[in-house]
Amino acid sequence: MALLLPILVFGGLLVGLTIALSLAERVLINYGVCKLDVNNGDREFEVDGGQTLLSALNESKVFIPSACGGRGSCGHCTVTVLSGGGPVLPTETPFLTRVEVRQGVRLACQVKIREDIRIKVPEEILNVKMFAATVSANHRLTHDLVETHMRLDEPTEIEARPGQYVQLQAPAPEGPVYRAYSISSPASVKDEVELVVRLVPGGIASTYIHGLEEGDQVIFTGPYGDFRMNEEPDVDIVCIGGGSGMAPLKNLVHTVTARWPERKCWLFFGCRTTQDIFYLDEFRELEKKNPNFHVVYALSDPLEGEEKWEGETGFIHLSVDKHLDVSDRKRQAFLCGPPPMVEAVMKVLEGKGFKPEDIYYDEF
Amino acid sequence: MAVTTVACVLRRAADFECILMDYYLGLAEQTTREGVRLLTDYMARHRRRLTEALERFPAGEYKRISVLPIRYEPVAAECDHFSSRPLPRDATAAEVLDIAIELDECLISLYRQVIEQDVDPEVKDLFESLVHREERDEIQLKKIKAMNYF
Repeated sequence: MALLLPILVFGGLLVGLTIALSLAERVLINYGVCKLDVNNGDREFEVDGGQTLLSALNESKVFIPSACGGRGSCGHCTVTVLSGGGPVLPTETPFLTRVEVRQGVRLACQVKIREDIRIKVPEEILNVKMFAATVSANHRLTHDLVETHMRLDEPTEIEARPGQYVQLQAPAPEGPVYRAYSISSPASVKDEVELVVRLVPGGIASTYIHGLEEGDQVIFTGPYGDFRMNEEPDVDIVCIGGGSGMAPLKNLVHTVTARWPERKCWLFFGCRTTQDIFYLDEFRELEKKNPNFHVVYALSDPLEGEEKWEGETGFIHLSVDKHLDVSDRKRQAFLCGPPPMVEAVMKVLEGKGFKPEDIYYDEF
Repeated sequence: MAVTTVACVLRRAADFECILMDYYLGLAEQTTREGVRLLTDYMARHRRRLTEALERFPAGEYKRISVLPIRYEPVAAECDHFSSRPLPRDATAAEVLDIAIELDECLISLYRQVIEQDVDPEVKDLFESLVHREERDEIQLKKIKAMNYF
């Protein structure tokens, strides 16, 4: 007790001092209204100084992707600051290369607005919108995966390419957080967005999504992402995923097979056990209807007890190696899964004649 | 708490990273699970955060701060003796990832004790950047675990 008391007193003093400093900054240091210029006058806003660039942009309806809700841990909210951003902070350097620092690239969540500021963002970020939607269904796919359908209320339509993602807002004790989820519904569906979400124990957003019911209101921003599918019909599409990395691949497969039925399309997907399999029946049906589409699922864990499985076994890169030929055909590959899986698959694909620029993968 | 230099603490962190790499390689060799082999082999080859941070630090500046004195206290004993911690040959990927997250925490504790001192701003920047790298790695490990692939 004698030891604990000074620690508590000292800790309390530190917390008090931190709160006092933070309040003093808010009350005493008034940065006033600052000008926020986006893309050399393309958009101009007046924003309250003292807030972060990310929140000022959000308030001004310029939605920069940020998977961590502005805590500086995802490194997604990059913008180029042309003037007025202050020095680069150590919390930003792990996410930026030296060249990017020289070019003025910054993390919007770490830049505090203290004066007029000029920034540059990719043109397509200006097309990102905030959507209000209503949950129309929330199906359970496996013991820890749900397929969530959200019918758009305002705006009523979304223009998204296969492989793009949205950032769903989830309530949290310290204010709403945004998490990125790939769109699994095909690009032709404009009035609804479908997601496939794995429950992460303790995860704020996934717990929220798993608890959603028909009729619940949700908010998200999007679409984001620079996955670009080659639209030439003679280019084969190869989709490879594992674990919960299915959503963008499902979107790609349905978009390709519906729009170009004559186009060759492969889907390779790796799961651990038979309990983790989902969508296989749907893809087998598609395979029966479309001879140019091929689906291969592989299980990596040994079968146990009553489990029955006649498909491929082992990790998915081994199935890719077995089924995909070396070819000089024009092909594009899309990968979605954990980095060690992506690395193993890339090695196989390069051996099959894929050029690195034809392999796309989700940044993890 | 002993007084040492910035270079000395960084050397200690570099040694820790090397032991960590060997530890993951050892796990990759001994495991009976293919998923754990893929995972640990990957983790061993991508464990270069200190080198990456120093590569981005101007050389002249590093020379200046490397000799600056700082106080140093060894981090928890389990951090020093992790490499002798027995992990069964059939340990699962989730078990390996839990240990990897704990070991990232060891480095974070080491770096944080420097940040909490009244040190040169460049030293603070360097160690804050290192903490961020480790925290980012921790998030990635948690995401890999959540993906349930290995």
